[in-house]
Amino acid sequence: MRGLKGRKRSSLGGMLSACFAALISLWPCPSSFWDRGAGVKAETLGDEYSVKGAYLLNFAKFTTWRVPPPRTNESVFTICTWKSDPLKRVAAALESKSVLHLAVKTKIASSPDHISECDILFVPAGESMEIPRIVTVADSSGTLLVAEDGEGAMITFTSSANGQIRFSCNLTAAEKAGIKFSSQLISLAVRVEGEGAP
Amino acid sequence: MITVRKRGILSIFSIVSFLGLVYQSCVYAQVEKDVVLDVDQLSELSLEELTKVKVTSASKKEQKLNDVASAVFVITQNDIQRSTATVIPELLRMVPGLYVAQVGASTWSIAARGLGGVFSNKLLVLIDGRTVYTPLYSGTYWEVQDYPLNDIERIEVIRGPGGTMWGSNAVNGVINIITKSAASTEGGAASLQAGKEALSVGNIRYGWKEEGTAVSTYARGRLVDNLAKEEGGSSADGYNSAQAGFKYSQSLSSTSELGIQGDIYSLNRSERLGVISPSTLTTEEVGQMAHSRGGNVLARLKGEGVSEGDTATVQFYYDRANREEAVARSAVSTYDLDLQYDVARVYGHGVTVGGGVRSIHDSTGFRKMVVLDPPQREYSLVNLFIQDDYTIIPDTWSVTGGVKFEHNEFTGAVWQPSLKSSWHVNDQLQVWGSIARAVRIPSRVANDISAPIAVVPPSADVPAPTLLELRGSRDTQPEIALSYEVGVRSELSSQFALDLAGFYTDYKNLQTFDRGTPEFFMANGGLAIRQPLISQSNGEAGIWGLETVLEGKLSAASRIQLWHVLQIVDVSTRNPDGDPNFLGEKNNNPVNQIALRGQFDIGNSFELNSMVRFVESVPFVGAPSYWQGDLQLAWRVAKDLRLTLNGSNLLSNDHIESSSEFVMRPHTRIERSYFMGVGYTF
Repeated sequence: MRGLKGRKRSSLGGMLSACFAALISLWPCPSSFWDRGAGVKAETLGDEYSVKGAYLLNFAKFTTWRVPPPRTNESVFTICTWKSDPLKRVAAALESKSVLHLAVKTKIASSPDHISECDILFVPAGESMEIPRIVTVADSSGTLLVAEDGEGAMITFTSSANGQIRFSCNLTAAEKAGIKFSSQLISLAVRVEGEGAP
Repeated sequence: MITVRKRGILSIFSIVSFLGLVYQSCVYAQVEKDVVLDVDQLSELSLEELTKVKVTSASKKEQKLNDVASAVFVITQNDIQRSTATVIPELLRMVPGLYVAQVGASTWSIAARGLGGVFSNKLLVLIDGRTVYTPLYSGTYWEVQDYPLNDIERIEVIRGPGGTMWGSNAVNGVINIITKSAASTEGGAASLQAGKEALSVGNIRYGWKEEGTAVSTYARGRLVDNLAKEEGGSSADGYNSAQAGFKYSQSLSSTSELGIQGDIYSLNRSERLGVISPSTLTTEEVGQMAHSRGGNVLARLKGEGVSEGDTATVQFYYDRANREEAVARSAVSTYDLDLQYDVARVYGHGVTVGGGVRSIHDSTGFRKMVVLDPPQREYSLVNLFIQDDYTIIPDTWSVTGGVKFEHNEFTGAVWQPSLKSSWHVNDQLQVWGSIARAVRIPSRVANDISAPIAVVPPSADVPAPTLLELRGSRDTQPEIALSYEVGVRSELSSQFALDLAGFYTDYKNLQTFDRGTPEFFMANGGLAIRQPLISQSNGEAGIWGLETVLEGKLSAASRIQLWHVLQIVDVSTRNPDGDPNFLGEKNNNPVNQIALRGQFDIGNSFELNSMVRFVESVPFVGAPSYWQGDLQLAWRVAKDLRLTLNGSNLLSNDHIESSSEFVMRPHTRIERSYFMGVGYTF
């Protein structure tokens, strides 16, 4: 009786499996159906923090600091992250690069005392409520504050509806820290706040 | 039997390999391929080129929540800090579409989109990927789901069915609590909240990090006073609890990481409730201490898959929950293994496949009322799922389809398919819709319970006293929900955004307790009638609702959020003799709820945070309509020190929010409370 029951269930399961597989197989292949004639272009993709890491290196090229890098005796360009470390996976790759002829060094700033050693301080999304207290320290040390979200940083990342990462600039905040952005950087920002904003 | 099993496994494998073939044939037929760049290549791009790079969403679960075709609300750490909440259920009051009602000092009734109650069983709650609902009745014991609130990174609340990704029980919603990683909790933090009503909560945490390794530990204690009974006097439901835990993460390579974490807890609460004695047909009020003890350990390994860009995750956890209550005693052990594989997005397809096995061992003991027969039982749950997030028109139209197959020992196989679509009309406007089927499998209680719940005195019609007794039944079927949703997200201006969601859910096979054949027995030296109420699946319901959320960023220093939720519930039964409002699913949610939340910065050092909420009456549980408000004044004294003054439920001395539907417990009054908070980091 048991065996019979099992066999019954199995044949029902088999039928269901077959239906399921048939249904799924109808799920459209891009080349065979939807894309025919639609001409979908290949896209350039990147992992979120790889893109953000690349942005940080690029920002350096378009920024003038009151206290120009390097800040310490070492000839390094220091990129810090505030407390947590979402850039960990790309840290090694970033450190293989150079910015303004200086080798890149990454580190975690876990207290305000560390900020003066940072040329760029990246504030991850989970820490954005701390921006108001970090920004005063960054102002006095002339550090470029780049935040993942929140308010008050000199550059803040935003996500576009299309899945791209963009950024906005706050010129007033930058000025307080004695930081100037090139017009090229400002022109690519999705939003510019502060004096001289278009 | 063995052959059958083998064939079962074979057929699962054949499906997976068949899917693989279909997928591969799709992939290789394409001529042009998306290019995924690593950080080396990305840093060679110009700033302008970088602005065009799209972000891959490696895992469905990590997809940007604003883009998903579901009604989603996220409580951030900033929202947590800026609220007067001391426990997780209080935080959930800010979520549009959830109905949160405090029943006693430690008892909560929390539901999404209708069919709530203390034994609400259609909401899946996860903490760091660990399912925390109890398999005994498929609901959540909220009092033991605790965590230091400052160490929670965010809480994602998905209203509506989530069965395809998350599995059974995600019928009306998913609450996904994500705590901060070990790496992000370096250094020390201590906080204390204390105030009127002898409420006090203390937390301490310390974390440290070395090359690739991070460790964090915490401890938390709570002491909460009794609430007041509706008719006066103490409801004798105060409690104390202690909890501690750790997190360890080890980076194994640039793409792989091992994480291990665990918690232990102990909670002692006084309880007072009416317990029926079947031999004397009397109800005796029992007041005693109830104890809950438990712990869990979870390990997760995440790394690169077989191809570049793929991600594979393996997770295992063990959870133990013991309860000693007046009515029953239980010990539940859960072993759970989950696998998930995210294929790197190619040709617009983002495919996720996965599966899992859960084994549950429970042991229950008769105390005063509740018996489960058999007292010990082992059961398992197996699942497999696949989901494809397909971009039809880049940047504009995407469709996500998926299905989960689940096998449970109570009712066999269940299927949970879903189809969702999202259309970005422009940068300011997104429209989405979804159709999904979700299932709640019958709980252990529905199968095996036996419990006297009320004594009806003799009357002219029935001359003998009648004992009503709940009885489980193996005939209980899985509850099935078919849900239709549409939503709009719109940026109305640079300051205001609107999020609208409408839904209709059709429920079949809802659990009911229908009258069985009465039996005669001797009690108190006389004849009495035992009326069994047998677990059946005769309930049906249709629920529709509209959820409107308006967010305003008035300036950099002030934000407001206003929401309104309308829910219309219609419950019926297929049993002509059945009463749809009696001991089954019922209409015990408010029709209207409104909340207004404000977060204001005053200068650089002060914050004012507030929430006002309206909850309409819920006649079934005897809860009248109420308005309540919470207020917090925060002062950032120094970089490392934050002080707060908090007032909760300020708009009246006290109010009633809900009551327990089954267990005879007094209504309790939720009182106004004040407390001070201090938070220090070192």
